[in-house]
Amino acid sequence: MQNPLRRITLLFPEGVRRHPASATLVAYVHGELPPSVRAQVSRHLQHCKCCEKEALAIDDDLLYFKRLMAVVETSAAMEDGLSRLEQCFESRIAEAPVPILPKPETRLTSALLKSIQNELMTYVGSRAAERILARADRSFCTPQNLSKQIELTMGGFIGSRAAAAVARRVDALCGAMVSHQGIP
Amino acid sequence: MWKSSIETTVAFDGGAEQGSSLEQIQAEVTESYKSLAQCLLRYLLCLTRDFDRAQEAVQEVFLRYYEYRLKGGEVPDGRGWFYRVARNYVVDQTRTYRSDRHVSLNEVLLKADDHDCPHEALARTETLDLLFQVLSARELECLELRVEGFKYKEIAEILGIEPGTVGAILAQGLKKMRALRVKIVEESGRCKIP
Repeated sequence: MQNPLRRITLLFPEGVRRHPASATLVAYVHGELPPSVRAQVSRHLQHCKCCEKEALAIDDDLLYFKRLMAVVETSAAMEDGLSRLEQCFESRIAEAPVPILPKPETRLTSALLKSIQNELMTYVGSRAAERILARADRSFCTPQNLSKQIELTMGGFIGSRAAAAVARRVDALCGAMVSHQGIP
Repeated sequence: MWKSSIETTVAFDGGAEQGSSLEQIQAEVTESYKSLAQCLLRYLLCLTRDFDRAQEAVQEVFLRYYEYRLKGGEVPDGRGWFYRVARNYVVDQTRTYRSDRHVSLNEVLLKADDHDCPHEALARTETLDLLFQVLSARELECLELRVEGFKYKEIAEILGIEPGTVGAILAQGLKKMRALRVKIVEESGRCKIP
């Protein structure tokens, strides 16, 4: 009996002669080959019944696998899992850590920043005041801890005692603004 | 072809906006669970070969998703994220988990009692049990992900391998599976799978 590979070698030009590797054939069936290789495999399949049969069997094998795996589709297990998941929702919320970022309403408002900037300008100038407040805003300061942050930052500019005095003024300003605007 | 019939529709919009209410996030997680849990369970069964571990991992994945969404995280690539998290979780667990028992897939059948024909289900489970013995975890993973409709690139991302390797693993897995089919047919003629 004539070797089918030899027959192909004799009949078809280079590139079409060779049987594609099984991985290439699988990728061809799945449409995952680059166009040039795909065209080459396609031409080969037109002439090679052996590979054509192999390509058709790939689909069949995957369907077979899918049918076998269908045996583990257990709707009861899924429903049980869903009810347990919903129970866990509650428990995980209780265990959830406190968020790092404060709530948006407790963040510094632009009106508050503006008034504090005016206050700071008299001590350190407009550019430094702007920088200090930008830094405080980046550190997610709230009206409650802003004075502490300002005291720390300004200590390097004007000394600790002066910085503490400015912080007290800022604190009073914040208190007035917060009570006026109703910020918690 | 088979591809269109097995593509899973995922009711998943890639994440809600930040600041979604708790109820919205819970509904989103529940919806994702309904559409993805079974696929994930099958995939994790391929990976762990243990039904209970797979089920536990599915649970954990969705809890992680819930926590992630609570912190304002968004999932850009849909179901691929779930498969990656599931895989990472199982791999981490495997490092510390020492299985002291071989879980036969017949146990799965006991849980899968909603099949119409028990004999048919038993035959399939036995074949699946054999398949799990013959194929490596990676081959099973690749086959399952492909059957779920993932592209080679996506499979490669989930498994952390090159896309070119996926085809080779699939070919190897299919070759082993075909040999098993032939063997089963030759031995007992148990080839009639509807």
